[in-house]
Amino acid sequence: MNKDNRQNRIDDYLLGRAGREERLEFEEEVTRNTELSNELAETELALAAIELAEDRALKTRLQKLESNLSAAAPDTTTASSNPEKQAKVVTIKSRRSNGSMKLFAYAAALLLVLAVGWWAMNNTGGFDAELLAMESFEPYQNITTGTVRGDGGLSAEAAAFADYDAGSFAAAEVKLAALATTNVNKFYLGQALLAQEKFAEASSVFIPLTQISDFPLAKEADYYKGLAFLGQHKVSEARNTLSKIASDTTHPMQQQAEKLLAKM
Amino acid sequence: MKTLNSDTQVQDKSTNDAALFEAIKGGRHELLDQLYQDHRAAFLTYAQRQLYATEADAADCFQDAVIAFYKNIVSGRLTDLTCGIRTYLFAIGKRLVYRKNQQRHREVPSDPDAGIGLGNDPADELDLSLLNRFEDDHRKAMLASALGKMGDVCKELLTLFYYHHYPIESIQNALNLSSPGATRIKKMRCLDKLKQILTPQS
Repeated sequence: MNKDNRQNRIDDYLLGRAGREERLEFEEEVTRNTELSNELAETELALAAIELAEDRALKTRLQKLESNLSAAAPDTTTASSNPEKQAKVVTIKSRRSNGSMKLFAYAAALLLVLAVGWWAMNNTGGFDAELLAMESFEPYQNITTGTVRGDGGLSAEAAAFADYDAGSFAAAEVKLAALATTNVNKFYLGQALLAQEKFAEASSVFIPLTQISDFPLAKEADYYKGLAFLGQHKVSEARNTLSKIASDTTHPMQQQAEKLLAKM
Repeated sequence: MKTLNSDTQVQDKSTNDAALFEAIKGGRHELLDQLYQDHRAAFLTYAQRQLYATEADAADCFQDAVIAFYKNIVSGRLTDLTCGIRTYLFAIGKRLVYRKNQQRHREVPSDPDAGIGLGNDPADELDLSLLNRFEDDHRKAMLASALGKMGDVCKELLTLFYYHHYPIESIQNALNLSSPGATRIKKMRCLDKLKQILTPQS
């Protein structure tokens, strides 16, 4: 074997281009062939050098970008130096009557109370609702029976759950949606949608499930409905749902709901 | 109406993520800048509020998360995007912040000027770990500088081939070389040169 071919085999091996058989054969040959073994070690060292240098180049590029972004961030201290943005002193018109002013004051106070109430119900208190939803989401374990593993011809159901188990949620979504519309299949379809941050679609799947009293995963569906609300920034709905779960000590997702509420 | 808008936004976001992912996978690594800008502010807020990171640490970790994301794509470890890009980046970034917080926590008692905690025993495990890290950094610096000793074309060719996993034909076009064969020969020579710099006896 000439040097070029040998190097090509080493490259294929190190860059993950070799098939399983080829890899095993190569590894076996390396144990017998000192020259090949040395060349592999030298190439690995060269690759480490290239990787480190380019890692640093990318890092420098992002650091430069970061310093540009930091510099471009709005500086509140400069606002006062802009004459157009400074407050002006204007003459206040004389009061026409005390009675109408009082009415205005009451109306303004009422509006303020309503606005504060609305804000308190819906504000995210400085957290990223969508992120928190994903942070708190763990796909529900596949507890369906009938998933056959190692079977050459997978049934549609087994194939859907195989994708689900593998974390291929986009593929699982398509396959689960095509299955018979049982409550269990819908529950896992909701999971696959949540995993892809399709919050609105997930909540429309979970809501009906929570209303089926004899569905064994209805309580779990309720928790995931709360996450889906949160992901859509429907903070007050999410709080309501999660508070009910957190106050029910027999609820299977009680602890998760409690933790999530604490973060909100 | 609000729900409709929200649905559309969710759809747009996953479509954008998929398109960006495919473009990066196809070799457009310059799009990492856009990725960084799109998610940086959210991560900085999150890391500072939820993970108690400093702004500088949060930015540092997020840069590393973007690089790790890219390397997972080009190495073939990440072939399909099964969650949002933001979720993926935040998951890596969060782990890096935890590690950094832990490192900071561990380094404080080993400060010889502090005079508290574990003391200044040179055999102390923490001091040894710092020494090991220094040696490792030194070796890393030596490796990283090797590529800088080569010409620009060699440097770019090897980086495109071994780091960005570009096919030979794309490298030929990018570097304006005469043919795929000539590009392969050039790559072989450049690699030999780099090996000689790293292990002069070879």
